[in-house]
Amino acid sequence: MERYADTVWRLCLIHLKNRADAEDVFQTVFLKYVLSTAAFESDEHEKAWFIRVTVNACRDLLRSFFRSRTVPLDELADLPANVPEDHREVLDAVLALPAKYRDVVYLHYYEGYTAPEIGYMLGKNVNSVYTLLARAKKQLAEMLGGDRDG
Amino acid sequence: MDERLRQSFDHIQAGEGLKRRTSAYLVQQAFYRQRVRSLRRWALAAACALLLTVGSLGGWLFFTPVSTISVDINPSLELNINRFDRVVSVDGFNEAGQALAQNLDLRFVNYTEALKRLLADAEVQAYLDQGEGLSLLVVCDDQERSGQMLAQVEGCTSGQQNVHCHAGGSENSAEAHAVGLSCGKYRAYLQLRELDPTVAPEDVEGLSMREIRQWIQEAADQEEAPAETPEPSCDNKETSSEEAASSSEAPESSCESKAEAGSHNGGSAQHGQGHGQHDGGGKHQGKKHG
Repeated sequence: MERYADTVWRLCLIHLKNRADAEDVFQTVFLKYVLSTAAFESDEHEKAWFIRVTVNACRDLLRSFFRSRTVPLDELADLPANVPEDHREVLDAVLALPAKYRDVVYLHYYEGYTAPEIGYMLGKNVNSVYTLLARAKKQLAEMLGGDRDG
Repeated sequence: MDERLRQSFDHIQAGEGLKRRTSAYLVQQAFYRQRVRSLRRWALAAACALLLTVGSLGGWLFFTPVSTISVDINPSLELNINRFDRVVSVDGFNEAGQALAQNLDLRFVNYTEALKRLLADAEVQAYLDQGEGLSLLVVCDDQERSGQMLAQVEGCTSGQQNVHCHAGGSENSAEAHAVGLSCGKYRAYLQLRELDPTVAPEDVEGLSMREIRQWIQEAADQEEAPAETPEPSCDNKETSSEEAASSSEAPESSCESKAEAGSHNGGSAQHGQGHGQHDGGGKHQGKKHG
């Protein structure tokens, strides 16, 4: 759990923007891992499995009938309290992006995956990933006041 | 911006509390799932055992015959009937009986329907038209059931001539089958053996029921004859047999009058309605007497 806990937690929180839901998915992902009979060829393979399963579990939760009728669409992020102001601003900007942008931004800018790798993990076309990244970057730049150093 | 993003994301970390709760959840789920799996396995095993037991019991109840109807004319066969009045098997005791059992689809039908099909069969009708007697023996150790079945059998055959319906216990069934005879034919054989102890089962095996009845009648006549009217033709059985070997008409005519008077339904069984008339043909004498 130690090795992938942070990755899974970040994905959950970025995707769901809700601590309670994120914790549910976090536990579900590790339960799936415990029950899984998948044989991993490498650590990278295992990490990719965690990312794919987490994103799918988040999507499933958002699609669920119960949640779609009980959680307001315009939800505020539940970020940690000890985040410095400038970083909180960045995280708020990321969380303000549409859901489809948030996963690719995290996977590309933080985890360092390439567009083809992200496309493979998320089941998306590579060109779509490039487009999503470009649009996300543009929106983030606009939100964060024209910082175009990346 | 890349670096700012990285540093910002670094602040989001799975806390120790979250990890602890998740570990507890995993342990609980693992235990719960193991229990559920174990319970499910037990439930499945119990369900299989129950299904097997119910299936076996049902199969045993359905396929175990509790009564038999022995049908003898010349084809000789037995309908084995379960407690639900269904024919579960048909045993032929001679070639004609086996052929009839194969031609008619009698398995799993009600025994009254099976009897109707038997009586409607062209071969059986041909025998009846020739004046052969059809014997229907209900073999059942339960008196009440036996009586009900006999009434049903009589009801099925009420429109037929030359049909004899009886009912009796199964005490002789094993012996009958051991010598290759149906219960009905074996009963007739026992009647005959009482009158003529030299008769063997093989002697009656190939005879029709009418021929056996005639033989019984004549044996009875021969037994009674010395006491009532000491006629030489009935006194001396050997003479009668020898004569029979050369001419089958002689002994028959000598005993014919008594054959009319004799009653040979015999045994401990209940007697059903007897439609048959012994015509005194005596074909068997030439073949089997002596």
